[in-house]
Amino acid sequence: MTDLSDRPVVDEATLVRRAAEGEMAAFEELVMRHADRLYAALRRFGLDDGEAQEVAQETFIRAWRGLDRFEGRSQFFTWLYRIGFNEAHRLLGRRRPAGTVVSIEERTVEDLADDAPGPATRAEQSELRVALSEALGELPSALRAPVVLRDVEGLSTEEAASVLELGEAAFKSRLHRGRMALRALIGQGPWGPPKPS
Amino acid sequence: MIGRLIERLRFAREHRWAQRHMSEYLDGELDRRGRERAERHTDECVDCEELLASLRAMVKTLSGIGGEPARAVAASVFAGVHQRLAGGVGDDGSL
Repeated sequence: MTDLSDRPVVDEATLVRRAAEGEMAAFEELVMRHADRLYAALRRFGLDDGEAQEVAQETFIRAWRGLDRFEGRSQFFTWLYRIGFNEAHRLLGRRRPAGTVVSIEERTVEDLADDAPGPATRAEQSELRVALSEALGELPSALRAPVVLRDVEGLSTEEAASVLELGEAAFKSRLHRGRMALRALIGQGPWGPPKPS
Repeated sequence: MIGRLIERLRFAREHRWAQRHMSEYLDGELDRRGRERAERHTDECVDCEELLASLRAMVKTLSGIGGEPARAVAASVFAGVHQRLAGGVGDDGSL
């Protein structure tokens, strides 16, 4: 591998063009820029460590072969996510359904909305994030993907819809259904519907 | 009597609309009329007010998951990619 530390920063469009012309060093830099983020997104989508690395590798191999077809109408990472999430969908489709439904003890919405949490609240929020991550894994992948891309990865609606190859209206509808399903799954937690009295 | 029935029907219609559009409201993706319509309803509907608050808290917590440090795998991913490309991996991923 090449030592990238003493190289000048090259803009992404140039790297993509050079890589499309066959320059492996340019492609290596694209991998180094995006692989960690793609891997993290794939983990949050429900893949385990080995699967996420395997899918990330496959994504970049497909990207390398398809670079001459990348038209630059979307951002490069959006294109990568599209390839990666399609691969992940296929892999998850071959798997059996995930395990048990997560339930967590009830906490108030006000606790979660605290903008400057103290140590105890930070620990609680960390615990809630873990519980929510596990609950995400219980969602059907068609509803999990919009939530991961929009709410966890922070993509815009336009970018996330592009990754999933959906129109914006269809994406928004699926995102809302995903959020509502996640809220229902958490059930007894702070985001769930009120318990029947 | 009729007035109350009409009011109930109006409320039910607005409730269904607000429930369907709550995420768009939360994401700031409704136009001005839509925003005002959602706000008018959540002002008068406890269920929708609670739904909005809980979705807002949930989305905020989800964004915290994204901010957590991820494992650094780029170098090993590239090594694997490079090895597979050098080894002439097939289109179906086979060697």
